Amino acid sequence: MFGLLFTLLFVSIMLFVFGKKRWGEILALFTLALGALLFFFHMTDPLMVSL
Amino acid sequence: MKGSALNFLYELWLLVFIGVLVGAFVYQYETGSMPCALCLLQRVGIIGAGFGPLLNRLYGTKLEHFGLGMVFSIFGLLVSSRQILLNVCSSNPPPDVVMGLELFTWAFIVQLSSLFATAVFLFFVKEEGKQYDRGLACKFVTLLFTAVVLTNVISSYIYLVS
Repeated sequence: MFGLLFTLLFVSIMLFVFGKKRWGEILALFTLALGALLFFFHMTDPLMVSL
Repeated sequence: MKGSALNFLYELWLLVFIGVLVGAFVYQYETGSMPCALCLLQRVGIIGAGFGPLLNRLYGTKLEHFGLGMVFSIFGLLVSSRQILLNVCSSNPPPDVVMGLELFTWAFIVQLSSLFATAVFLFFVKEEGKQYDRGLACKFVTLLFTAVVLTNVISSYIYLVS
């Protein structure tokens, strides 16, 4: 799951660098939402969120 | 503030985030410890906070760039404060201490400083859509940031298989 998060962040940077700023921002915010969801799951049950 | 000075500050700001991420990596491989879920989420927050200065440097100063960095900073702040609170309640000794403070406390300080820096920048700079030339320093810092994020991608898949 964390691999996916970091991959999405990496793709966002690639989009920023290659001129697709708006798409990069949307992807970054989507990644943030995914991270927030993981954080919520970790709060409810830490063992549920594995590496 | 002049554009060139501002660009230099953005590059410096991004270098701080790169330094923090590299420091976390060095510590991790030096001690041979695996990062926990909350540590990785804090790294997500720090990388995302770096998007603010990165976008400002690449596309000129805009409020939305600061906003993107700020939401990631707040996210990282929440995660690190949760980990601090978990360790306050725990009877175990603190796990990873660097210069007298735990790593998650350092992450908290970095995110808070980033928020503070954003507030100071918003106070002093004006929004301008002018896109400056991507000089050598800009390209170098962007490449370094990308390389650090790519390293995070690779290592997170390594945790998965190990």
